[in-house]
Amino acid sequence: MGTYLRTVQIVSSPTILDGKPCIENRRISVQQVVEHHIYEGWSIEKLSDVLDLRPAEVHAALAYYYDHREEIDSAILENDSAFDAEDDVLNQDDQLLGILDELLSTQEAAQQLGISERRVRQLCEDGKLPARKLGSNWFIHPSSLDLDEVKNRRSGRPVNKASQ
Amino acid sequence: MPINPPDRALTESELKSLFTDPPVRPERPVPAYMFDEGADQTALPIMRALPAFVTSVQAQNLAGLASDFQVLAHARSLGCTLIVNDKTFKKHHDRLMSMELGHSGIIWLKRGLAPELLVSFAERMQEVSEQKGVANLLYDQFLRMK
Repeated sequence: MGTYLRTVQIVSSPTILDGKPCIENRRISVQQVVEHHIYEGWSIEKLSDVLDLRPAEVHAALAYYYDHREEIDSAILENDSAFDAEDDVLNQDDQLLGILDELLSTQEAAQQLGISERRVRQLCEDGKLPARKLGSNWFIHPSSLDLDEVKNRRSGRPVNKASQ
Repeated sequence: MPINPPDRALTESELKSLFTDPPVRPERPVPAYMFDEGADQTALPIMRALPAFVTSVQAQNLAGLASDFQVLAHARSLGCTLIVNDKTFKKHHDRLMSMELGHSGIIWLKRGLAPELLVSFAERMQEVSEQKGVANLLYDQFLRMK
């Protein structure tokens, strides 16, 4: 019996890309190599260059693919269908940008309402001004400023009912 | 057989500590992006010319060493939106959101997407960010780009 010689291995780890077969010591799956090479027509050189892979790593991934073609092809199809299945408009880049462009920052809303930015943030936190939170920032749709409850809100410090 | 570490799934408490430390997220003056290893990085050098911070998993010395969540947490610590091309990250996003943990945004690129589209998105994002006075408008967002 011969001795196994060291070559590039294809490995699987449950915490990397859901356990998909990957090139050892990389976060690059066989599926990704195949998508670029077979479906997009990237050459071995381009793959090596763009993904910073050694040609031996690309070939190891492709060798794995030819041995497990059905498994990888079905994973590619699954990835594509999952992409197309999402229909939330906020998950689409062009529409998100359009929405963000339209939304007002707390500073812009404060100017339009004639109150302080801090007060606008407070109204958002309290749920009194409908707003969307992105990270630590609130964004308000212009139509929310026309709500009676917001429009009729008097400027200045909120009244402390307990002291009345 | 060599295996990409770590070789086990993260528990809920490990995930919490990963995504709550550091407690303060960096606010860069410009949008920031980090490419995952397998994502098409053709756009990376072009995006570097924009007023944006752009890096990659390789450049951060995380190649093969980090789990998906470690990469996401690292991107968060840099204030970077992570650019990926695998559906697994949708699952990760949903898990983090259900645990009320945040990330600094994920963009899932459609296979074969022209790099110019990503560059153009980054340009428009930079304009909107400047107009709104907020560098990263993609915190906690999961975005598909096709």
